[in-house]
Amino acid sequence: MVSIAYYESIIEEFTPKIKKSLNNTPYQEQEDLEQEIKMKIYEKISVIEQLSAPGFFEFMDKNE
Amino acid sequence: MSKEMESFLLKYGRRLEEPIVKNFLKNESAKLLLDNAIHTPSEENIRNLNIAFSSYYKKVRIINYISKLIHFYSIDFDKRYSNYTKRQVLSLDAPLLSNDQTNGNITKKDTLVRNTKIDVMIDTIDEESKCLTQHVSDERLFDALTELSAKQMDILNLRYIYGLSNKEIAETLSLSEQLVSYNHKSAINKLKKSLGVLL
Repeated sequence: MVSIAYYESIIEEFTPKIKKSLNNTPYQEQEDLEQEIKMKIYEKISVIEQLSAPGFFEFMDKNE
Repeated sequence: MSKEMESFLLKYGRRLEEPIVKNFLKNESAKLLLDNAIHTPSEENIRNLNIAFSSYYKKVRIINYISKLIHFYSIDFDKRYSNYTKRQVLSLDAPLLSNDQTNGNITKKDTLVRNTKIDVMIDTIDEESKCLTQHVSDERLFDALTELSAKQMDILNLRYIYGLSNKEIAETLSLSEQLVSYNHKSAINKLKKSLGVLL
């Protein structure tokens, strides 16, 4: 189950980045792109939540 | 320097230089956790440090993941869009039936029904909306737009209402492409200045 509040906080945090990336496409398409990016992030929310990270010593001992 | 610290530095000194560790330790409370874990390596201290680092690392990975997603997706989107418009050209005068020699002159244009009433309506709407000033609701932006020169206004109209590229605008107004680009940029900067966005 995807948490809506979590999704919204991500969107809010990344709004400047999204707006900036809109410049990659012509003005007429920007609205569509913005919506598609937001949809894409929504699709990937479960992937984002499952990103794992090692603990401190785990990290330090890795690749030694 | 304490003995524990020395052996820690000997073992991990090089890894402390890695950006992720360095940035993590910029935080005072993280530094404190590390000190505690080194000097009194109790299970709890180590666990606290591990948890703090792990959550920091995870945050970094999430930010990294999402910003990459946004960046590459926007580029990919634009590629798809330009491919689409390149391949699906709207041609009104190409013959509809290529193999039929006798009726080869029928084109898509001929199949469109002309509804005079609607056309007139669209024409009048077009007439009114040919200028950007008819499209803005913000008073300050409206005022800023009226202060632009006629040439700059033409360029903005062609670009944002008709969606022409710099090259097409240059052909329409018989100016050089560089001049169009320069005027477009300076018009945008002028607008930004009047809106107080750019100092």
